[in-house]
Amino acid sequence: MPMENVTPAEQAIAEAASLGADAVRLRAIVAEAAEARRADRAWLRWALVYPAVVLVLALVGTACITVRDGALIHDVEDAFREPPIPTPQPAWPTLGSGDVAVASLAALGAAGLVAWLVRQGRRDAAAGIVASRCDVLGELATGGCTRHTGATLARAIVADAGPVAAGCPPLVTHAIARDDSDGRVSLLRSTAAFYRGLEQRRRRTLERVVPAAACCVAGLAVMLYGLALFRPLAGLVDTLAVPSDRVAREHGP
Amino acid sequence: MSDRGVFDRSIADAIRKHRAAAPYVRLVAAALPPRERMPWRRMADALSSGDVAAGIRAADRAASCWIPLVATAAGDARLEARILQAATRPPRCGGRWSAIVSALVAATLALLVLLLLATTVLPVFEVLFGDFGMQLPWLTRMTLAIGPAVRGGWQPLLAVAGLGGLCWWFLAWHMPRRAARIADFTQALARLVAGGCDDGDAIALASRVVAVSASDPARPVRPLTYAAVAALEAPPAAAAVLLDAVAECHDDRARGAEGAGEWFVGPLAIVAVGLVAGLLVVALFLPLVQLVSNLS
Repeated sequence: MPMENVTPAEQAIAEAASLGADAVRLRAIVAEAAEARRADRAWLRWALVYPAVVLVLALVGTACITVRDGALIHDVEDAFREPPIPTPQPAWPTLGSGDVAVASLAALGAAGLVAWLVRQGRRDAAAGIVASRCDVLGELATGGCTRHTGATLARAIVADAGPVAAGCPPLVTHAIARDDSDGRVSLLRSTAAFYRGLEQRRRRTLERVVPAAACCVAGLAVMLYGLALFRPLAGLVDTLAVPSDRVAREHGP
Repeated sequence: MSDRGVFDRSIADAIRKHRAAAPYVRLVAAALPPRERMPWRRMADALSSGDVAAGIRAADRAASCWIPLVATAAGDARLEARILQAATRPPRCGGRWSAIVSALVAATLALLVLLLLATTVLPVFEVLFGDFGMQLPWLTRMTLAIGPAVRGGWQPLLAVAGLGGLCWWFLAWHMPRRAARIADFTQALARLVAGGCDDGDAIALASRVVAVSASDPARPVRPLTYAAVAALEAPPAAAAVLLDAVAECHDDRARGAEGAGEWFVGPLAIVAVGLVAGLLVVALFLPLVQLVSNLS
C-alpha cells in the first residue's frame, strides 16, 4: 500500500505491531467499535422513519386544510346564510387557542426528543470509544508497550472509530497507572467491560424510549390534523343546522 | 450468630480491610449515570471516614455494592476489577419502575384520548345531528352512546382498568422480579464463595442483597435454589463457576419475562388508541357524508 494512502490509525497499528502488539487483534477492536457505531446510527434512522413520515404528512395535511379547504368551507358557509352575507375573511388562517396549545406541545415534544437523542448519541459514542481505547491499551500493555507510548498509540488507533477525547477518563488513567503489568492489563479489560456495560444500558434505554416518544409526537401532529379537518366541517354543519338563529344573533331581531 | 450479626460484622471487616479503596470507589461513582451514583458515594464516604455505622446504613440500602469488599481479602489486587464488575450489571429491561411507568403512560394517554373525545367532541356532534333530525347509522349511534356511558359509569371503567393493571403487574412485574431476585442472590453467593466465605455466612450475606431472611441449605427456600445448594457442595472455585451459571440462567429468565411484559404494552396501547380514534372518525364521518349526499 502506498504510504500516502495509509491512515494515521493504520500507521499507529503498524508502529504498535513493531513494538510487539498483535496488529490483527487491534484492527478487530477498531472494526468492532466502528461497526457498533454504524449499527446504532442505522437503527436510530429506521426507528425515526415511521414517526417522521406520519409527522410530515400530518403537518402538510394540516397546512393544506387550513389554507385551502378552510377558505373554501368559509365561502360555502357564507352562501348558506339567509340571506347570503359574505363575512370578512382574514388574509391568513387564524388558529384557535386549542390548536396553538396542541401545536406548541408537538413542537416542544419534537424539539425535546431531538435534543435528548443528540445528547444520548454523544454519550453512547463516548462510552463505546473509551471501552475500545481500554481494549487497545490492554493489548498494547500485553505486547510490552510503555505507558506513555501505549496511551499515544491507543488514541491514534481508535481515532478511526469515532471522536476521541484528548485525555483519558479518570478510571482509565487509574488503570494505566498500575505498576504491575498483569494487573494493569486485567484492570484495563475490566474497565473496558465497565464502559461497554454503560454503553449497552444507554443503548437499551434509547431502544425503549425513542419509538414511544416519537409515536407520541407524531400522534400529537395527527391530532392537530384531525382538529384542522373537523373544525371547519363542524362549523359549516352548525351554520346549516341553525341559519335563522345565526342571522338573528348576528344582525339583531 | 444471627444473619444481622453476620452482616454487620462483615461490613465492619470490609471497612477495616479496604479503607484505601475509597478514592477508587469515588472514581467509579463519578463514571456511573447520576441516578446510580448514590450507593457508591455512600460507600466511599464510609470507607474514607472509617465510620462503621454509616457503612452498615449504606449497605442496608444497597448490599450488592458491598459484596466485592466483603468477598476480597485485604491487599488483593483483584478488588478494583470486582468493584467494576459489581457496578456493571448486565442490562435488564430498564430499572425497577420503568416497566410500570411506560405502561401507566400508555394507559393514561389512551384514557385521556377517550375522555377528551367523549366529553368535548361527541356532544357537539350529537347536538348537530339532533338538529338535522337524521336517522343515524348504528355505528354512529353506538359511538354517541360512549359519552353518556363514560360520564355516568366511570366507576366500572375504573374497576376494569384496576383489574387490567393488576393482571399486568403480575405478568410484567411480579414474575420477572422473582427470577431477578434469585439471579441477584445466586450471583452474590458466587462472589462470596469465590472470596472464600463460609457457606452459612455467604448465604446470610447474599440474603441481605435481596432483603430476605436466610434459608437452611437442608431445606432450601427461594431465592436459595436446589441447584445453588448442589453447587455449594463443590470445591470453592468450581462452586463459584457453577453458581455464576445458575445465576445467568435465572437472569435470562428475568430478562425474557420483562421483555415479554414490556413488549406488548406499547403495541397494545397504540392498537387500542388507534382503533378507538379510527372508529370515532368513521362513525362521525358517516352521517356527514350522508348529509352532503342528501343536500346534493
